[in-house]
Amino acid sequence: MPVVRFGNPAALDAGQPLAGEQVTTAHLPESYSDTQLFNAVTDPQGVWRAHSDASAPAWIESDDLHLAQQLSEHYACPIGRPEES
Amino acid sequence: MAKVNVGQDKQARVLAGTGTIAGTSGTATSTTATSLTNTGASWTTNAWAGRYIFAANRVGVVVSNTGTAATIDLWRDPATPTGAAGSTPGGTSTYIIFGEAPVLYMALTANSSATVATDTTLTGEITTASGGLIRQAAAYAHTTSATTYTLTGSYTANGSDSLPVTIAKIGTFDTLTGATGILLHETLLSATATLSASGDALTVTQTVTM
Repeated sequence: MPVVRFGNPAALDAGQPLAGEQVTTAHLPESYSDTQLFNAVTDPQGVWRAHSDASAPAWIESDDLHLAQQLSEHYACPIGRPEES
Repeated sequence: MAKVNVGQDKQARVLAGTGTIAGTSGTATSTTATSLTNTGASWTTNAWAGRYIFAANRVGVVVSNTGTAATIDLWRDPATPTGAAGSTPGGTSTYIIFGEAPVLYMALTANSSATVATDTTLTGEITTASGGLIRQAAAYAHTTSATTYTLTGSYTANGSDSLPVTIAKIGTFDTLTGATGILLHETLLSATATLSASGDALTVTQTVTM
């Protein structure tokens, strides 16, 4: 099951804002085509819009490197969470 | 979103009942791609519906059962639980039925009638063989500290679907097999979606409050 984690700077919980940057984790079905995987995340009715009021994640990481690359380009955000300082 | 009555019961069993409600185990006398039989069993009809069944490194969800046979949705490889069916366990495999299967399959319907708490099926569920709009696994997502999670279905109509079709409502279930399983939620879409041609896509997200 491809797993994608998003740095979420404006997280929503059932439409209500959550304080602070959160991490949203999505487990995507193995049965999905590449197009379905991408749509499930990026569609206006998809995962990201349901979980965030931000236009893009702060960062993305995934065990599916192709999907991570696609999402990174779509959202113009980096792959990999920032190092803790 | 409307959580139906049987869904309330299911959710409670998933969250707390899984570790306390008795299961069963034994040795099969035969198996198929969608069943396991133990001719020596004397199970209560449908006592195991909605439960996980484990046999020979495969996992299925019991759709229904008779006194001696369990019908399952498919045998999963646990490493790819939402992927294609794995090989069928050997006909004399040992098995365990234990634990409540989660609700992560989403189904579509053109039926636009109001949701009713006593519903147990999704009226008019699309079950077209090989169609792109049939029941399928949904993406599960959760945000740290949130009181909700989401299930997202991503569908693409294909040449087997009866088109055009206007999708009005979705349901979430615990099995992959269409028109079976335990219904947790049924939800009218905020706006209906018409799919007219092969290749048309639809994404639906169901937010679930825990």
